[in-house]
Amino acid sequence: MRHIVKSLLIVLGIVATIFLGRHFLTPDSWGKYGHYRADYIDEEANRSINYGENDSCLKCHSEVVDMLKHGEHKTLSCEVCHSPLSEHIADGKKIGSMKVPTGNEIDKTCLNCHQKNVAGRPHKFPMIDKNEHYKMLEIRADHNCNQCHTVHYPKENINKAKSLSRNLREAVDNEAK
Amino acid sequence: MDIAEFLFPNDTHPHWTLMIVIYPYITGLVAGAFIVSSTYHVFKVEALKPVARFSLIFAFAFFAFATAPLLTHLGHPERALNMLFTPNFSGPSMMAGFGYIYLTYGLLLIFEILFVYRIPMIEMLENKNTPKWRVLIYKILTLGSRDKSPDSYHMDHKVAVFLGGLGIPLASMLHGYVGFIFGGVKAVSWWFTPLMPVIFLLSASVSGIAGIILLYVLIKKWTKTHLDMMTVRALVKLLWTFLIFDFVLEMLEIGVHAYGGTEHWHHIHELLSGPLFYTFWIGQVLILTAIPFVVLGFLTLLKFSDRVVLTLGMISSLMLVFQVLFMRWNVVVGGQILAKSERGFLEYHPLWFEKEGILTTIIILSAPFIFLWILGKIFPLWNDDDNYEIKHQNDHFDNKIHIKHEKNDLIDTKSIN
Repeated sequence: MRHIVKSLLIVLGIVATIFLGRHFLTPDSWGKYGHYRADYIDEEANRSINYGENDSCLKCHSEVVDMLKHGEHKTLSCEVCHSPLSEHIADGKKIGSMKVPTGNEIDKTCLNCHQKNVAGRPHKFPMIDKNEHYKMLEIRADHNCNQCHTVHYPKENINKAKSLSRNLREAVDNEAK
Repeated sequence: MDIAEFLFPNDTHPHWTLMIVIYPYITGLVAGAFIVSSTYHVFKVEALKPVARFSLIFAFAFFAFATAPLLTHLGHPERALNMLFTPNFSGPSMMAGFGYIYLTYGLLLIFEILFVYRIPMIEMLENKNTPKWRVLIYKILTLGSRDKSPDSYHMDHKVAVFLGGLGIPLASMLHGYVGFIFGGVKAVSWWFTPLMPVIFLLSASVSGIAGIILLYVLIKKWTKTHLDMMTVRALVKLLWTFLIFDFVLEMLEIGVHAYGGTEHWHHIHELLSGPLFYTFWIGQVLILTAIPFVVLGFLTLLKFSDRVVLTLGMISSLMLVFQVLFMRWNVVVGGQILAKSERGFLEYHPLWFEKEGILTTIIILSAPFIFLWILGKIFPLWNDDDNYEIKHQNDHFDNKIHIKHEKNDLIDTKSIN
């Protein structure tokens, strides 16, 4: 019958291991203020800042930020499409190049927000099915979004083109009169 | 009310993936198989004796992988320990509760297997033909014991019956608790019903019994060994019994939702007639429940030849194994695609190669079968050592008679003196 005693001892051993494990693996500061690790507050507060927001970009790239302010993307943060500031500037000095999407990356970046099947967008938000959009406007499929839409001011060229063609039409009409 | 397809921006896709669909599925198979095993070990239903050991090992094979989908979903599996070490009892530490029940049940299952298999393991240990690696495993698993005396056999038997008896409420709690995890979510009207733990428990039993029938027949046919038709017939009856309660309660749940007609009903109604129409009404209810329900009913109530019982029993079991998988999908995914706005539905299309996709699901669902095959190499799945059991029962009986004789002799001699 010794095996029964041994079995009981094993069960007791397992229970003891669990309690020992709990003792050693529970962080020291656990429960100091509530049901969480108190050290976490300091750790979070001391994390280095990654993002600098648009005012940091303004210092060197005022022309682009100024352009952004006038367009539909005025509420966007530069770092949404480019990299976080911490990869570009440290202690006021440039440490690396900012990510600038090119080619097909541009389309991917745009469609992150404007892809038609992204659910839960506000009613008036322009949602695009790229194939449909290109077909409707008779544009070649290998073109990228930024060939018509200036990324920092999406409707700039479109509006200019529209007003240009309106002026042209008016001029032609006036000529005809 | 019309569904306007309005979704909140932070509520666009379900977070609980296929992993959380198969988690209650695997846990259910564990609980169901254990119930089959305990029906023999505790309630002495002799017809189930041939599958009693197999269902224990089956339960353990699936038990070992019950948390695999959860840990895969978690991404950081080691963080599961945080929840167990620092549970928030004043708040919603539902999963910590599952962890404790799972661990307790696991210990019980392991010791039940060790006690049921102790003497067969000693026999194999002493057999010179047993390969060395198995001898080593048996030495560890028998805890160094070589005691094969009838007394120790009966003691083991008593312990196994005790553990089996304790295991029934624990196995029920294990899976009832999984139902409770869903049934306790107030924010999802499709889950929030006190019937949820009961339905989970009953469907678990259905899947477990159906799984046992399928594997019992398949393995016996594959290895061309003796298949006990009494066992198959008993399992078919047991399966039908659990299916009746399972199906009736599942329908009652819909009835309660519909008749209750709370402000959530329009949404659930749209769910059942829209995104879940094919998987719930057509798949789960019409094809995978109604057909096996009628077939198993006939098999139980009327007399049929062995061949018919075997064929139809197998087909029904296969359908029921899938029925329960469909049920898990309909509950887990169905509840999550209800938009929190109550004005539309989210979409969920699992991909083949994503982290928690179809391939991962197939791998996790196949793992218990591979583990079962490995366990089968160590623990004989079938009661081939029955002769030993009968021999020992007789020995014990002889011993008792012998002792009685001795006592009588003693009395006789005393009376003579």
